[in-house]
Amino acid sequence: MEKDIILDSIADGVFTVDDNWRITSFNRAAEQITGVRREDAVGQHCKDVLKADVCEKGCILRKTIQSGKSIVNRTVHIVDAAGRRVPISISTALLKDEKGKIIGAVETFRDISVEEKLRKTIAERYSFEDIISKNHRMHQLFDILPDVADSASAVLLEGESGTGKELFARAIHHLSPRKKQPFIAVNCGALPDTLLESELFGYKAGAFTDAKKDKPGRFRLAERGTLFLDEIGDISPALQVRLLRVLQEKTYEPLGSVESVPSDVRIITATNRRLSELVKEGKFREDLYYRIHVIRMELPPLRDRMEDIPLLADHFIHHFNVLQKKEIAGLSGEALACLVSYDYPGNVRELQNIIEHAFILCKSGLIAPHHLPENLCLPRGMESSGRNETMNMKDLEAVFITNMLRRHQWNRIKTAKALGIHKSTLFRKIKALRIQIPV
Amino acid sequence: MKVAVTVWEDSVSTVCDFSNRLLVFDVMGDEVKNRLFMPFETRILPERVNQLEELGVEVLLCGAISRPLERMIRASGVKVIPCLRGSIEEVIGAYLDGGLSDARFILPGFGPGASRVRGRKRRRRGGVCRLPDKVKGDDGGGRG
Repeated sequence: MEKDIILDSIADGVFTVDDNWRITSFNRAAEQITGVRREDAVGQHCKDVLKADVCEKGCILRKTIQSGKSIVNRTVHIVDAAGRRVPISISTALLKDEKGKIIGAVETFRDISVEEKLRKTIAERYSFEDIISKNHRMHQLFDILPDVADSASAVLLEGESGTGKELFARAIHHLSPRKKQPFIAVNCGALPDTLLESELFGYKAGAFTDAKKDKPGRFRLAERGTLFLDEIGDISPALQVRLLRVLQEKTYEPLGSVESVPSDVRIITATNRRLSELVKEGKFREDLYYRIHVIRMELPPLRDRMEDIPLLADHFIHHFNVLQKKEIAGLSGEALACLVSYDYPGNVRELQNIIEHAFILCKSGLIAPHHLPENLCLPRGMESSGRNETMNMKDLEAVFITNMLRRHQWNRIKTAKALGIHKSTLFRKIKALRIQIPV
Repeated sequence: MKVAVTVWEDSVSTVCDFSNRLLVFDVMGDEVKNRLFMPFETRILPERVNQLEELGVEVLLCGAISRPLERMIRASGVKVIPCLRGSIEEVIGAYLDGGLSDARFILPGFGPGASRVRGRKRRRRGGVCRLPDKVKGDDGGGRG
């Protein structure tokens, strides 16, 4: 009893096991992190309670008992009772009796979700584990991802802004034989041409006025790894020529250097424009185009994978709950109805921003329509009617139809077709619901 | 009917997301046929779903499962019976007999008495670790 009081006063999760891996004590913090009550945990096999990724492939308590050495602050992931993946930091130690005989082990652990989220946010180190979708087209892409990653070929990722091109590039890198080498990302559209050239290829001291010493370029930093060139459609014709040469000859010269440097870098490029059309318009070199699009993957916009919205919204709610230490339970039915009827020109990134917006206004409980950005839920003409806590079926129908109309550029025939109703039914509803069509 | 179980050694793997092996079999009347063990190693969740789809799996018996993975699998039309534990043979036997709701097949914390952990609000959503109380009858598999 005294032991329980002491253990419960500790902020970290603590449990002990006997020499058969059965849990003998389990403190309150352990209950909170795992979601399993003490009375359910004690007497059970530790792997059935902790549910960590290491339990089956390399139990660290077993390693501790076998080696006699403690393990300190090892990061692992568990799945808690609510189905959340939780990163935890684990430490272990041996338990011995008075005679020094090993009688079990103790494991302490703490939830590091906040640190993990911050680390990922700061370093933008989201990986394939963060890609979630149940959309058929996304699944087709996932089908070919391991083969794409295994090959050394150049990959071109096409898709609108915010569809997750960099996430895919990282996934390809993490699955490739180069995964232990660097992944370097460059946004070609964010830098002026001269700066981009020195960023990519580096320079020698004296190459220009401010070049006091040698600076390695991104090609050098990505050596033996992967170089991700985002917004490749924005680079100048001159830089296209230089890039083509690197791809063809596998060598480049830093600015101010007369010597060629060999390059072993896998190139992944991405664009939110149609490169084939830029080629037709003469704005992008055809030979470079064929060099970089050995494998082409087109990421669908969010409006074409609306079935993912509940899943993604849930993912972002969990993300912000962790970062902002809130306990938002989810979306109300009305809020979800608003989200699924919007067309997301900014794609997944816009959905993330919408949820972040809702987190500012929603203090606890469920996110309601009035926590969402105004343009999302209120059809034209309803703004003046004020915002209600809840919407009735008529309001919801108006929101849904308005957003569907907006998605189809206010074309009523196309909208009626998409809704699966006759155009005259739609006309009647527009009139009855007082939806205003822009002229 | 094609059924899959996530496997570790001779037991149901504790967490579906981290499992490395699958046992796939056909349930034909009262019998289990065409048993096949295979790797289930990808850590990419949609790829896991794809693999189950490609195998034609209709029912997945597994341990704990993360909410996103469970939703994706369900969305692909596969019935998920989660939160199971025990030896593969016993779990398959219980599945055929409709006995998977027996406490010995349920992971700690998910049994009939399990409730919220004190001091922390936990909202159970989306069918995470629902008890497999009606595993028979719905899918037509097993003995009758």
